[in-house]
Amino acid sequence: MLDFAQRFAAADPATTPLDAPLSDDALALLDRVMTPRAAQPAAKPPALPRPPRWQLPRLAIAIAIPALILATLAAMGWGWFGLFSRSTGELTATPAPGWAEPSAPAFASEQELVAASDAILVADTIGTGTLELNGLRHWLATVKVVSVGKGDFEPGEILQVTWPAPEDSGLWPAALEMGNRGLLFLTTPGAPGTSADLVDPLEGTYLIDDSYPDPIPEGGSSLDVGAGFLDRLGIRIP
Amino acid sequence: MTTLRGRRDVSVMARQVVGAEEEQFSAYFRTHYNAIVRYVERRVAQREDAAELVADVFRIAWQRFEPANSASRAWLFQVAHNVVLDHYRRHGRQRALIARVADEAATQPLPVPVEPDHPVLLALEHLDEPAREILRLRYWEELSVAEIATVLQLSSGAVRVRLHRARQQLKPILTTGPVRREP
Repeated sequence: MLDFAQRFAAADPATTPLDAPLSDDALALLDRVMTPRAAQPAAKPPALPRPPRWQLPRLAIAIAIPALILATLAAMGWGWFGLFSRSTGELTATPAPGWAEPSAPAFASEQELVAASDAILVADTIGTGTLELNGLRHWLATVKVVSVGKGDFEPGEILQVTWPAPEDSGLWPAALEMGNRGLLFLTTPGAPGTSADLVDPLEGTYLIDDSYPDPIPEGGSSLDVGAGFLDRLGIRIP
Repeated sequence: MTTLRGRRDVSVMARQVVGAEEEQFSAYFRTHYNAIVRYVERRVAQREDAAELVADVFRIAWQRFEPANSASRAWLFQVAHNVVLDHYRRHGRQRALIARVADEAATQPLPVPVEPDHPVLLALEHLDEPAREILRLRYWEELSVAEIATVLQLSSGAVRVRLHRARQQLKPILTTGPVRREP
């Protein structure tokens, strides 16, 4: 097995020893950098004068009524607002979700994630590809089941797992890259002709890496499944 | 109304606070100076440039220093990371300018960057810069995943995934032996 730490240590181009005593140059630098700190930010500009009290109600009405009218038109999809509304008759399939990292996780707890999943398993990826479904591109991974925590699958079984491809250039989940092992949260059955879908394209996979004791979340705001999660699900990795 | 004595007390307290911050920063500097020098040496070939960049790191660090920073070396490495990135960008613009001038003048040869000769350094050349940096932070600076996340402004999960990917990319190159890349 490749020892990265050892290999990197042997190739280290740094010449200054970490425990070397500080040189005179270093101490001179300390004196030079510790100049008086930057001045406080400039004072705020004076606030605009408030309108006389008797004008406020008229001002409020003058702003509120047009705003209310515009909001109503927007909700009705009228005129220009119609250009930006979506007619349910125009689309035949749910569009792929954007891949901008969500500001909050889709699942607030392990329990929610487990409850949302029809199947939870550890699997090795043995193939990858893409699929067109209803005119939308999906990504597809062929996986071999290693261990099952939930659902009607058996170790050794081969599955095809799909999820909508991102609209922009998103990353293929590391857990579903060729040769990698992942903890997968799935809904079943999957898209037509496939075994399962990811419960969530960003938060349905966790990479399993020997370097770390816990499964690694992939999305920016994914739930961190805690220590012992695999044990609690009865998942054993040979 | 603030009395003269009140204003003097506030002034004394302010000086004491400044004095305490200077002491804290001085201790922080002494603790991490060599680590920052090594960080820059690993990324910048020219010794003179490295010395200048180290000075920039601590100059910026002092201007932004707050007592809370003194508990974290990751914050200082983040400053260093940004200083080195700026250097790469300026250097890249200078090389582009030299290339354009050399092209036009057709007389001056382009400056040739120093070629690495160690297999690991050669192998790193085959990766993109984000992958190289995350491996350097992990194996040379020996930062934890949480510290790397602070330096690179990523989540810990993203750091672990990127580390995994970078190792996966490097492994076959190190195993078969890296080939010196054509310029």
